[in-house]
Amino acid sequence: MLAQWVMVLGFVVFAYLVVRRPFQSDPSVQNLAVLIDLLIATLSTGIAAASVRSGRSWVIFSAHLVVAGFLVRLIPSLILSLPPYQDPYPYFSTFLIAWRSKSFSPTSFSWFKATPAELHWPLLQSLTVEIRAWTGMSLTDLIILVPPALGALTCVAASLVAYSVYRSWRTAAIAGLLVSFTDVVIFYQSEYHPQGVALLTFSLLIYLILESRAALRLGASILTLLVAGAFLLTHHASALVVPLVLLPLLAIPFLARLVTTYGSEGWLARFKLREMLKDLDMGPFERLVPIVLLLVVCGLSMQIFLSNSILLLVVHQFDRGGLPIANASTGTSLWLLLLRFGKYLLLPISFVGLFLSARRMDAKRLILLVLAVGLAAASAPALATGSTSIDRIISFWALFASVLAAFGLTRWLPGALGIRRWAGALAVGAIAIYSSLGILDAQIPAFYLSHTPRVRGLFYGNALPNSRSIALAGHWVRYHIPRTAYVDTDFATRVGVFFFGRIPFNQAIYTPLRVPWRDYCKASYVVVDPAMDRGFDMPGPVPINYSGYARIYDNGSVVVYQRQRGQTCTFNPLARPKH
Amino acid sequence: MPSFLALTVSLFVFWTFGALIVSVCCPRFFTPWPISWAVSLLSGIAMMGVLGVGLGLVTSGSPWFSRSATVELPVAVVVAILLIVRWVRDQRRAGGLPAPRLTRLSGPFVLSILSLVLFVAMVSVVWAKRPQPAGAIQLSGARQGSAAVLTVLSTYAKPVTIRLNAVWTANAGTHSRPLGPIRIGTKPVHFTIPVPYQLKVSLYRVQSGSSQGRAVQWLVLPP
Repeated sequence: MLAQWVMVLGFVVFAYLVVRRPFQSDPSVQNLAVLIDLLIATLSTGIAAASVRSGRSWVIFSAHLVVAGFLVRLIPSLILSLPPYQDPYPYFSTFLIAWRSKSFSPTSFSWFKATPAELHWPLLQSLTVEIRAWTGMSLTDLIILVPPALGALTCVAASLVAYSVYRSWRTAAIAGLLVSFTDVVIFYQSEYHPQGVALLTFSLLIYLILESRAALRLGASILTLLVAGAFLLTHHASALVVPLVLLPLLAIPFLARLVTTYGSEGWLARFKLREMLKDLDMGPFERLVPIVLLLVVCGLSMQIFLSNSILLLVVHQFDRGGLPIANASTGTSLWLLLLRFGKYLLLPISFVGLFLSARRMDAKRLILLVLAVGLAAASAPALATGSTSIDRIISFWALFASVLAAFGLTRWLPGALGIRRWAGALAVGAIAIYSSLGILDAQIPAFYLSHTPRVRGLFYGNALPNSRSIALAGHWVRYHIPRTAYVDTDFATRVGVFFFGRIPFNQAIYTPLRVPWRDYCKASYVVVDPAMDRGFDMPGPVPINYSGYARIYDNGSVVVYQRQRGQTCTFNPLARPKH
Repeated sequence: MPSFLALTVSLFVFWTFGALIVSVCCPRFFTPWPISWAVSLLSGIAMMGVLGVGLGLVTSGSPWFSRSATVELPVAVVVAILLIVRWVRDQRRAGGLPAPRLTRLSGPFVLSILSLVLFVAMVSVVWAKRPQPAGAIQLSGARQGSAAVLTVLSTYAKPVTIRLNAVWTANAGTHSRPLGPIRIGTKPVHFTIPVPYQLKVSLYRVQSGSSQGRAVQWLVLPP
């Protein structure tokens, strides 16, 4: 109970320290205060999770965890007053287009041409429409608050999975804690991004698969189908996960019959496999139902992907850069590297949980392992091809890793080391370190720490964008630059030009490296934050010499340049290699 | 409606509809009660998302597109009342509804609830006190014949002092005209400069105790 009070104070003080930065004048004091406070907050959260004994205490702890998760996901938007990064704005523009045209199949979408394709998965937009209709929330509050509020509930879904498999409230609490503070999970759920909601519905779907197969009840199967439908309607890249994860499940009944028929008696008896597999081996009719269900789900998702526009979106998804923070290898300081690798602490612990689960196997544990292995197998091609979209799969894998790691932490450490008190402290310490690193690594370090070095390859080159100036410049662009104009932008100003300036997305020219520099010359305007763009640390700086253009607007941070008639467009070799 | 209250109301509606579908599809299946509550909340989100998509497709293009969602709120209240009535009835059938007694609530339990309430309150305060833009000065302009009309708009709550400097080149010489200082409130202020040439205007926000101020915006108007 004391731990919960310390947790509450710790997280609120953490938010205060990183948003207000009271010791800004002395960066080392400021950063130390942030790190110490975060460690205290996560340590007390770990102790609170380890203290959970009953369903009632799990409810109270989970409620605290939901609020803490919500606060952590909200911090970037609290600092900037707007969502960070670029993805929230196109997604939110699809909501705006749907809201204004009163349709999920709008006929007018010149602002964002991909709207019809994005609205094939309208679940987040649909929830936003409903919340707006119920409560009349302002647009700014909707884009900032809704995804973190929904995402913070993922810990509850992960706890359900853990409780279903291991029947332990403490394991459920720790699993919820681990998944809630996993970096990629926080990242996707801190912005207006459907993948954040997909992680939530995916976790619930896994729980319902576990429960409905155990029960074989029609009602539970209907609910499972409903949640599977919700998951499929959420996000194009996430929907791909469903067939990859569920297909191995089809093999289970056949495998069960095969093993019980041909397995050696000693082996079957040693692992109690016959009793366990009897649960999974079903009659012809019961076997047919999940097969039909899975085929329908897989067929639906594949049918959606066969549309040309959708296929293009998927190709684009796999083609573009993923989270630079996971790939920053050059120019990274030692402590940033430590942050990067420390967060993988979950994986070895989850393998411990995996090993322990395998020792006392039952039907639910087997299904959980099959699902996890299915996802791991699905991620192998992405790893082999070097596709950076592996981050998306890792975010789904975080559910399984958290559940298994929670089991390992609650069962293995105290018993294996023999000295239970110290082992318990070690387990709580591991939880605290993992949670702290997950929170810190979810965003670029500049969001949490002061005077961090500029790092090429991180979002914004690890500097905070002047979001208010960008929005202000965007409002100016809206009234002073024609909607038919092409505008060159950098990574930071693109959202200002597109979202606030209402310039169509494909006319706000920004590409991280791939497009030939001459494509920038078709624009008559350049909107940049020179202080950020000219450092060349940000992904995709404007690769032309624009300093000779007429400066027609300047609000102290963001500048609008206009190329005059007859003025030549030349390549800037400092920006990037010439194509 | 304040944002945090709006979020709470939304979660309540999700939970209510989730409890409805759970009690219809699989009554008494999700036990114990914390599991049932959690499944209801999460299923409610999934269900309302799918229902919203369905309603959105049916009412596409009509005024009912978003209004259909407003119907869900009163439905949620009715469903919640029905659920409570049913729960009370079940409790009575199971041996009578025990009277609430304060002695049943242990000290740690009450303190845990209090810490949760405090947490929500403090997060609300963090949200309310978040750094927000104090305001901005927006300079814009347009040509009207051979003259330029400049408009300065302030969104600061209090009046601010600004100064403009218009510069143009004509007859091989550079000319300038300072405008202001002038205090502007929330109403837009217009300046007209009869200059047929390319005009470059810089806007200064005059800080208190300083006569110069810092150039905060530039505007170039073509001839």
